[in-house]
Amino acid sequence: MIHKPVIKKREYKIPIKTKLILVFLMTTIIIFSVNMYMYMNMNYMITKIDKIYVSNTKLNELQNALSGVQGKMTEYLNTKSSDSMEEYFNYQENYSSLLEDLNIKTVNNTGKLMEKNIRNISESYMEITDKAIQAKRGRNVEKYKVLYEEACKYYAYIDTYIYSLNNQQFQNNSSNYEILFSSLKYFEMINMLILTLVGCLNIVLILILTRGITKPLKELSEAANMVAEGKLDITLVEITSHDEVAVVSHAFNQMVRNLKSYIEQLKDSMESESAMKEKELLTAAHLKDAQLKYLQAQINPHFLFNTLNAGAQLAMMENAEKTYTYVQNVADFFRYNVQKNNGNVTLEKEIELVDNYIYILNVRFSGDIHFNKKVDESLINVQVPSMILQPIVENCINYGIRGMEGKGIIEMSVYREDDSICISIRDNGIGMKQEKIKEIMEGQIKVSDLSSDSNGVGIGNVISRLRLFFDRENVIEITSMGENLGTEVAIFIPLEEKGK
Amino acid sequence: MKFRKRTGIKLNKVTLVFTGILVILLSALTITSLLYFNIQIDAVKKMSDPSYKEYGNHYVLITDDNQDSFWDEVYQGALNAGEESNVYVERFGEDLAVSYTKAELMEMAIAAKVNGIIVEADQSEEMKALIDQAEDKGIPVVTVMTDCYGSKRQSFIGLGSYNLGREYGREIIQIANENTKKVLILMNANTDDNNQNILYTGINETLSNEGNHLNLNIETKIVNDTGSFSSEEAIRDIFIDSEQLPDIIICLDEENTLSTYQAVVDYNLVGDVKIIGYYTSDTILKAISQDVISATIAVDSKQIGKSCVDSLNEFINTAHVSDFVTLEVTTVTQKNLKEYLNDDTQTGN
Repeated sequence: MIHKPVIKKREYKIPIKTKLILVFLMTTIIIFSVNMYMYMNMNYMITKIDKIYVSNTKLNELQNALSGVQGKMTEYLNTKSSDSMEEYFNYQENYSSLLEDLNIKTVNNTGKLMEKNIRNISESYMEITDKAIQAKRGRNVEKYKVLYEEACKYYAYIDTYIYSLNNQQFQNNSSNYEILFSSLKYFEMINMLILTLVGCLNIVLILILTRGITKPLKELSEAANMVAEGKLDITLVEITSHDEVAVVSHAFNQMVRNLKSYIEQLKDSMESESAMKEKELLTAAHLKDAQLKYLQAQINPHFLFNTLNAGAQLAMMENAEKTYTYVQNVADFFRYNVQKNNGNVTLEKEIELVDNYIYILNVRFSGDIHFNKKVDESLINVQVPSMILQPIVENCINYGIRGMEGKGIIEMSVYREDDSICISIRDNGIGMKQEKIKEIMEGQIKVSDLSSDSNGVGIGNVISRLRLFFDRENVIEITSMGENLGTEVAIFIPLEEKGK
Repeated sequence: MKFRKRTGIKLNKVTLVFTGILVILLSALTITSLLYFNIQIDAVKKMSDPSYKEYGNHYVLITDDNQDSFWDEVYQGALNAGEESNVYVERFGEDLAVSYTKAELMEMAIAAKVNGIIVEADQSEEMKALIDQAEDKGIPVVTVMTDCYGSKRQSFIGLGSYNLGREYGREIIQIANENTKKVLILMNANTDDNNQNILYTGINETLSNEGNHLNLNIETKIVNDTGSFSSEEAIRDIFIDSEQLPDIIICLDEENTLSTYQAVVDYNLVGDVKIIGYYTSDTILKAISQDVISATIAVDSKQIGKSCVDSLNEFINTAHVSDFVTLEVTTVTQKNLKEYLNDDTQTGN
């Protein structure tokens, strides 16, 4: 997958440098060739304009040569000097050679036909002048005079002809010149237009061609920015070119792929670690659950209090009044525990439970505990969480009264105080240290601190449940005046919560 | 493996199409401009190198008056006839800055070694000598409209003055009535010219043979004896003396016909003075349709030109040609004007 494009790349690799050179070479060639073409044509026009009056110049030369011939002939006829004869022949030769350039064919073009006539008349003229020179040399006075007259006539004809042709050509040339000159200006404009067009075309071409080079770079940088922002799930950069950018793009793609797979691996290992931890935790929870199930299996309250009920009935049949009452109380005590399923009971039930508990303890400890209660009967129907008073009383007995000398007294009073119902449980036991009270209030008592014969519900638990039930902090107050001065636990139930 | 789909693919497509169109448009414009430029350059190249056709023989036509529409048509006829037989006919002296006489032009044509000369000759010795000189140098000469008797010319192409005189005479008889008394013939000043005498004889004989019932007084007047523009003045002079007004004026050339026509209109004498004219230019035909000119002699001038070229060709090819070529003339009056015009358009003139 990685190697294939590498091989391909080598086959089609065109470096950016070559690409750029090709682009600029191409546009330059276009501009250059168009320019060259225009330049050559314009040059042709200019040469044409330059040459336009050449025909006039030639005719002027012709006329000069002609007058030279005529002049020298006259001079010779006048002076018979060999110099003038030589010059005459020179002029004649020159004139003849100039005539060679003139048209000799019969054509339907006025100018060309005039050239033909000039040439022919000139030839006739030169025959005459030659004859005149000959006659002069032969001293044939009569003849050369006649010939001279004739030559003069012919000279005048040719002169007129050349003059007329010159005139005609000048007119022609002037109009041609005008046309050429105006077209030259016109061509300059077309030239400019074409150059502008080609320039625009080149700019567009350069834009298109360089776009092919810069576009992959731009895409690559965009992709790199995305990766820099942490978006590793970007799609890979498409490799369209086969140049240096392609190499970089390929490397970039490889890097992104590697990063991705690395992160994937990291994620996998983290996931397996957390799974292991979870498993551990789950094992612990299951253990607890198993312990609980075990405990529950051990104590089946229904079984217990049915058994106790049976015991109570047996005691009644045997007329053992005290035993009956005792067993009945124990049964009631346990039934209460079974009934508190929903967790909320009336205060009356709670108080009854305390009564049962005290009775059972008094049987156990042969009436050591004096329990006085002072209850405002109008308040006993208030709903409270179950198992809140019994643990407190148990606490009073276990920590307050048990270790003391003399008679243990527990007083419970239920009364109204401001907006609250106050349930106060007071003992005259050994009292509590302030540190201990603080510890209890802050819930620092541990489970292991519970005594072996408690029913398992500690004061901390009571406080927590009261706070949760009434949704406020100050539900309980523990006060102790000092050592051996007893302890008071006061529970405050908000009156407006009565309906709960 | 997924590849990145290009963002803004739509925009890219639009840009691509747009740039594509731009490139095509610019290229098309450039190529069109270049082609246009090329066409223009070619046009300029052609303009400065005019094309021309080459011919075998070179004939020249030498006439007195280069401005006359009659001679223009003769020349056109000659040119067309030459075109068919690979001959170029030049209206000699037309392009020169100096206006030369016929004799001088003859001399120049001889010096220019042309292949044939067509000349409106006259009876002068100079003309005769020049024609002979040309013939001596191997240049065939044909005379046209007016002959040069006694010269070595190869052929004469003309109307035949006697015939022409008879045509004029017959027209006079047609127009004249009991009240017609004076007929004036406008003559040219070439005293040597025999043609006018023959023509005059033709008129006279016709009148005495066919019109002896009429009591006509025939007079002649030479109108171009004092140089350029003299004929027009001379014609005006005729009308100044209202007592001596002629009833019929005979004009023997186009110029005199036009001058007389204009004078008759100017002096408000339409109907009083009748004109028998010569040649059928547009103005003259219009005057006939308005009955200002009673009749005119119609000459097929193009046919004359053609006959000249044909004669020269024939001589050059066969070394022999008929000495005298007479062309038919017709008379155009208001009656046969339409017919004449129809014929004219049919022959493509």
